[in-house]
Amino acid sequence: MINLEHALQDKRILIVDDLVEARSSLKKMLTLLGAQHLDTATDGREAMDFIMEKDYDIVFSDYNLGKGKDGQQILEEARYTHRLRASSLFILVTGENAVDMVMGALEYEPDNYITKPFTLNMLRERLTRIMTTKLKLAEVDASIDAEQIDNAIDQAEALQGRYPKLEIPLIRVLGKLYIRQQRYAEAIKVYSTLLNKRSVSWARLGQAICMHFMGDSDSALALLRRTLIDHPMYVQCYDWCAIILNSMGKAKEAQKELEKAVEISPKAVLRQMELGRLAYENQDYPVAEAAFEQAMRLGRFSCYKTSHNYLQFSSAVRHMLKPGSERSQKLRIEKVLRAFDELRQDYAGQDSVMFETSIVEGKTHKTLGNEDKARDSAKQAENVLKRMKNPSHEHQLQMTEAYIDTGQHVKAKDMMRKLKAEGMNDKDLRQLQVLESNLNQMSIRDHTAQLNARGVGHYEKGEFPQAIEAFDQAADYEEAGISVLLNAIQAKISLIENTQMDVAQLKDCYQYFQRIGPMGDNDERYERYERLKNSFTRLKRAAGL
Amino acid sequence: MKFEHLVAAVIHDLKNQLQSLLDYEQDAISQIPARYHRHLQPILQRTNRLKNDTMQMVSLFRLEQKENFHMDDAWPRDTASDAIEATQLQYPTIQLVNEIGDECQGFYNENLIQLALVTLITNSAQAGATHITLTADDSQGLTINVQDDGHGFDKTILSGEKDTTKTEGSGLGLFFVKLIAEAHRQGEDCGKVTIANRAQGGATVSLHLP
Repeated sequence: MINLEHALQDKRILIVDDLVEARSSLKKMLTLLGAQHLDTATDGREAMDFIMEKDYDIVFSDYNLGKGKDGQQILEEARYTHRLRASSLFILVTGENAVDMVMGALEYEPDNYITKPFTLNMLRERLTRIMTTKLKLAEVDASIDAEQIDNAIDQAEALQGRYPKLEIPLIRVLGKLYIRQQRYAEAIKVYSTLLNKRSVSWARLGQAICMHFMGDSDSALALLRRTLIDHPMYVQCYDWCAIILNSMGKAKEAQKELEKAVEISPKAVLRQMELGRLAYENQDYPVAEAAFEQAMRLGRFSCYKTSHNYLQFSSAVRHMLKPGSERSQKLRIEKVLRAFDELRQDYAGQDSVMFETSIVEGKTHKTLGNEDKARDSAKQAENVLKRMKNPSHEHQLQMTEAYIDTGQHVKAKDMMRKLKAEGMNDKDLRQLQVLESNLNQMSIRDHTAQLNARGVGHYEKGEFPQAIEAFDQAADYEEAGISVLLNAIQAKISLIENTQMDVAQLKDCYQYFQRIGPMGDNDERYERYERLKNSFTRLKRAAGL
Repeated sequence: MKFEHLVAAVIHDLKNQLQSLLDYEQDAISQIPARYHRHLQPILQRTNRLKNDTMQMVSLFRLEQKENFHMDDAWPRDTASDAIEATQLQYPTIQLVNEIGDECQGFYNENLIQLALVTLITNSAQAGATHITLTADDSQGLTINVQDDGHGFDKTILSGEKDTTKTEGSGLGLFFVKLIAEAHRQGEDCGKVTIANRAQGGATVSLHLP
């Protein structure tokens, strides 16, 4: 085994703990054990600043760091940004009850853990073991750092024969590397070797992942579910259940799995983003809102900060807003407006983000019934789009939609003509057709509104036949609203009452009532509806029908 | 928040507080002249025992909940050395010897096995032992033995009629160790505890893990 004092003296070490006593106690112990280059950080942000600035050989981080990031997130960011090499050690300091959770991770797992409380002797023994193992794996780690994965695999395989006592750490590394190289059959084999002797949850998870990639998703799911029975806190199993279910087209079930994972471990940004994305697709907007809100909050000071979260959050919120500014939605409106502000501040230089911000903002205003503001946003989007060198079809389709939403039909038609001339892929073409039919419906609505207005004009002058003609034309469109139908009925009744019985007109009235269907007495048109219905019944009786 | 999580959070804090208390007491002793140590020693011992009891309580609670215990590569020599450290304070005059080899390896939950060893050492001490030796063998599963030179087991315990003859403490020691052994399962196999008296006097307790 290594000489710990000797091994520690030239190592750069970072200690992360939010409690001052724990920090100084660990620092004191490490100094006694021979460490000479020590830094300490009190939270995830400070820790990441240190890690971005310096190269560390060993990071000791408490798992639970109070409000901000937890130790697992520091690890993920440090490895994700490649600031922490494979050959560096990340040791999680944790209460025993959290070990299960942190040692389950396959992708970003800590090298080891030490459970609190511990004494100097316990730390000495533990570190000696950890560093001895790490030293034996040094060549493998070096190859991983050099991105020579197949080399690393060969070396790890060779070490298996040499160090039978390192079976578990070697299989852990090997399995991960096989999966990375898509050598699934070999991964399954090496995990099985271990599982025949030892019940290890991460080996089961690894097998399930391989089964899924080899095409047997049902068996993979079954294995994950079995693992979860023994080990219900194992969040990565839920993640993979979700991935597999989603790939089978079961998006709703996938969402449920992710919700369970988030409940156990709410601080992982990537998981929250994935949950938000799935929930949005499933049109479960409250869940999407909550997930993206968490993702924004957790990601704010991390490498996972992305405009995407803000835009998705705003889109989810928009689906839950109603016209007007009632108290109940005040908070929501404030939040979504703040998201737009943050986007404009943090991504000012990125045209496509600015464009999408204006688009989503416009839609939000439209939903709230702020037509003027919606038009302002559309104008802003238009300006950005003009600036963009090669706007994508998707962007132009979004602009078209914004034109339609803000009543700028001519511009919408121009853009659609241009897009059609350019030719588009199937997905964009389908979207274009949807927009076209929206636009048609809107012109029809405009048209019926005009006819209705003309009818009302005639009616007020007592010109019932002309009024009826206009209303009937408007009612011919199936999009005609209840008010148009009631207008037509009223004109026909007035005509009969003022001239003579006309059975054909009465039959028309009957048809229109059928189209309206039953009306609730809380409807504001109910009184009028009832009055007309009574007149209609009276006339019908008079006609002997 | 679930009830278990609340309990776990409280116990977690309790453990940490007791550990800091121990640290403070040890620090205090190191700064105070030797002739006053006997006044602080009992406090230190009681604190240590409280800590061990707390660990035992949390483990019992979790054993009862049938929770999944994290098992991993483990080194019996280190585990035994931790257990000795945790009990030596209590019984400063007893000679505790760790004869387990550096390379001896196991697959178990370290905290639980450490607690089991603390319990067995405490049992031996209460049986009047002055010399306790820990050995282990990893050629077939893992066996850890605790041998002492105390008064040995009563016939009724060896035959399985009774679990304890003790008047001091909870008397649950051996039962607790059995629970811990049984929580270590590998497929069909599960851990067990065997007890025997030694020809030359004293007792041997063996913890077998699959």
